[in-house]
Amino acid sequence: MRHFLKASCLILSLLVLPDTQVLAQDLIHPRDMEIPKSKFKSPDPAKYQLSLDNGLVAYVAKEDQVPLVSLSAFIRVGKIDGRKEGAAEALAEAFLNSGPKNMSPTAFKSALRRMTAEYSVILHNKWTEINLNVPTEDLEEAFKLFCAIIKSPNITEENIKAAIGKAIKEVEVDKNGVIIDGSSSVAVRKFHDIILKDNILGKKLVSSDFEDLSTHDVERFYTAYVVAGNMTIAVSGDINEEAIQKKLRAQFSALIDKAPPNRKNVPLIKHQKNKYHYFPADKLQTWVVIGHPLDQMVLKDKTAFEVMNYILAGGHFWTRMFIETRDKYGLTNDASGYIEDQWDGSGSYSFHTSSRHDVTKQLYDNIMGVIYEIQKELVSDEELMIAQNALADGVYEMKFKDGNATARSFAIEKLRYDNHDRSKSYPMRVRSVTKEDILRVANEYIHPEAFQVIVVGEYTNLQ
Amino acid sequence: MRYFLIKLLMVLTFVSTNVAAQGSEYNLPIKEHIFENGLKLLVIERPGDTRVAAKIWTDMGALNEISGEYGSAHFLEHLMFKGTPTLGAKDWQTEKPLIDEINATEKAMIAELNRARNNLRERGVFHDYKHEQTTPELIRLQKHIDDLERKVEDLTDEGITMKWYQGFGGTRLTASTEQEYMHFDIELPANRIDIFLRIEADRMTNAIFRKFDAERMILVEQRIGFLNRLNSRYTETMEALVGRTSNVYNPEGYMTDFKNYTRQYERYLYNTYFIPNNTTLIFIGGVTMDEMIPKVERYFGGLERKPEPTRYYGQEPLPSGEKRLIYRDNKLSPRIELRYQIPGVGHPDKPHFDVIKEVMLNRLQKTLDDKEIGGNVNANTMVVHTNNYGLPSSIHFAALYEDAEKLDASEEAMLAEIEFLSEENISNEELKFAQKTLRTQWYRAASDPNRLNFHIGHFEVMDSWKTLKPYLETRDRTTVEDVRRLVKQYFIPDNRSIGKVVPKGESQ
Repeated sequence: MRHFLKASCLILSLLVLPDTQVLAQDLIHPRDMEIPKSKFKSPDPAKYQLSLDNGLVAYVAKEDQVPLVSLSAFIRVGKIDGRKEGAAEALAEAFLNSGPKNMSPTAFKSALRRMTAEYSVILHNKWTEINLNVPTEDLEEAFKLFCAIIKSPNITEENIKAAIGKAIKEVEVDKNGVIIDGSSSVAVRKFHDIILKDNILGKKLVSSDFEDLSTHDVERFYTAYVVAGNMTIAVSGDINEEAIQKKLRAQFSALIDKAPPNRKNVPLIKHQKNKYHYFPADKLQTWVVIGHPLDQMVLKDKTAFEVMNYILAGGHFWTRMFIETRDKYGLTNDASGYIEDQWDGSGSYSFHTSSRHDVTKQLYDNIMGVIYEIQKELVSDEELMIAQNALADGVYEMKFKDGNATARSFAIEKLRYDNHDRSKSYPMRVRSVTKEDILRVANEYIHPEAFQVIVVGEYTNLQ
Repeated sequence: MRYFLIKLLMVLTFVSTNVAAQGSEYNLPIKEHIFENGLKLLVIERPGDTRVAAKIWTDMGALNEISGEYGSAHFLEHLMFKGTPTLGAKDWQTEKPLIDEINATEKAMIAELNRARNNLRERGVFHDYKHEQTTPELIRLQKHIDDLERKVEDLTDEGITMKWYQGFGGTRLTASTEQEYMHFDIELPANRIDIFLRIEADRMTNAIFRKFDAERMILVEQRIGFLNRLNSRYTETMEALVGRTSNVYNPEGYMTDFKNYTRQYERYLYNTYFIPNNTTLIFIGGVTMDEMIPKVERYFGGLERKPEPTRYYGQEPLPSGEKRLIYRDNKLSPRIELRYQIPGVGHPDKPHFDVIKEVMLNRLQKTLDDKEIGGNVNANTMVVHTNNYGLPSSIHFAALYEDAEKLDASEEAMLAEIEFLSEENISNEELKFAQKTLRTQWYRAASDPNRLNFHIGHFEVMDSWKTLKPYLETRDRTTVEDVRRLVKQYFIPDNRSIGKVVPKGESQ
């Protein structure tokens, strides 16, 4: 049958193509092509893992296509932690700008510059990451510096001041209350402000929160959370793995092994009644975010929801939402769905888009149309197959596509779940999702009656 | 029959496998094979990789457009996502006559536009006055096209190429069109590369321009998205100030161009440039040249070599005077910017300018800080829109401020520093540091097969992939004398454009 189809395609192509090529072209339909099993094998975390007696776990991976080395630390401490507000923000500032105690901030910045380093510190709600990338020729110096920053950051008053400046930064508006630089990120920020109102995850710091914060408080915060069992490390690149493991032992074996303080109880994000929120901005486009908090899910549902989102709106070209807004009608450059994960507890699910002002209503209607549709009918077999392959053979493989990605993925997974069961079982879980699962999770976890609709730009009646 | 043809072509195919020399700081073991029909295949084999970064490059872009149709190459890229008779058609036998009728109706529209051209002509740069907006016949013909498009829509499977890429585990699916190139990209499990070859050979040969008018609106969305950014209008105006003849300053075109695009002109670009002898396939990852040759042959071997398309041969006239832009805006950070035209890739001086950019970035920041003028300095050497290389190029240095108070002092200090560098040598340490910075930047790009693929392909369309490695090596050989010589030669007042962003003030 397949050969017959192939032959038909070829003959058809010879007969009817516009501006045809004369010679035969293999135009087998992709549906009829054999998809060989991907050669990718999930890497074995044990091959990369180094566990120290004090509980610190590191992942070391060689990746020598270019003479670069990446060093990362992932610490289970974020904005929500600590008894003193602002301590997490100030510590992140210290990691980023002050460097270690044994050198001045100026010398620290000079060292980074000399090494042509890329250096970043990212403070999330529930964790912090420190990333350093340098040429191999600077590995010795960079490794020492990296370890020194983690083991003894130079916490200063300047860090607290800088943290205040960043924490209290608001979206700028003019004297009429019109947003000066409206954008997608402003709309998303407004969405978070609304759904996280009264939740610790959405707490907004003000200057007075920092009033009684001292460097001593930040030091105590650091000592309590940056402990061996509360972080993981990833080292990858053009390295000698054994030598790196030896260095890691030498640097971190003496790190204190004690339990960090219990994490604050983060209440579930509450659903609110469907509401329209308008923020004027003087721009040529209007940005729209539609979404609500996402309830906690068991692992099976979480996987099914991910597959459902891939089909509905998953941030790529072939989704129902993209086709019904962009491809068919030219209403927007993009309309995509985002699952926001808050590690544990509830998160959010939202759709982001933008359009010229006069078609915002039509865009909104088309988005709502595909949402209602996925709650009504089973997806097709082909949609399911495409989404499963895309997630299991595409997105998943990219997380382990080379040594750098592998060390990083394992280190974050270990910090979050304390094991690697999730990544190991991911392809199998994705492939076991059924059409019925998708219909069920679409109804169980998407609640249009609780959608918060954020519009930044020109007023549009979306009723 | 098909197998006979393939076998025959295999025998006829001219095999020239060229492995670039190894053993330098820049590991680029590129293998080349050119097929009889002119198609070029470049492969970097990475045996341990399970995935492959694939791109198909066409040597055409905004440079090949004509006035009034700017951005049409970019639009062609959009149209090439709309499928072919075998991808996206639910019933091609029914759809084909509709497509033919759409094309015929468009021809009638063009004839009507030409007939009424004097009445419809724009009367100035402000696009606010025409004798007539349209004609009854144009309205009738457009309505007919709209009706036909709706019928086609019912016969079409949207997003078909992306769908199958995703179904085969493809990631990083995208495409891009700039002044000199168009490329389509994907990363796939290495043993599924056939899907790329199947789709791309079809795309470059049999594209159907479905949903033409709906897709035109996506350009509007992208354009206004661009204009929404605070910097965009200033940057565009500054870029236009620097060059005079090349239509390269905004490869995505202007609103006033979008309405002019026709299927006929897009088809002309497509038929002229999307031919095997103007195409390069590049693969980096878990594939080998030996396995790729027969695979590529299977899907592309049947494409005929066509007459070589005309290369863009426009050339900027020599600069003959200093130009200055005063840009008034209350939302944009005040700044002073210096731009100089410099040669593009292929010219022996071009690699040295990358080094000069790094040297200047460090020196200007230090100079302004030492003089307590401050500001946030950035520098770039670019093809105006394309960030990295190209023709024609410019180099720019900008210092941004919170208010306009120090702009004059900043300009004076920057120009004095340039004057100084045209007479005095920089230190060897400065030079070495600039070179190290560039090497590290390159390693970061090359660590990602997708970005490495881009750089190889970009060099291939600008000059030749073979000159990429020498280019990188030349930067490491730049001397302090080269820096002084080139600053003296190129950073002269007559080759200078100065941009100054100041607040509008209450009255304006």
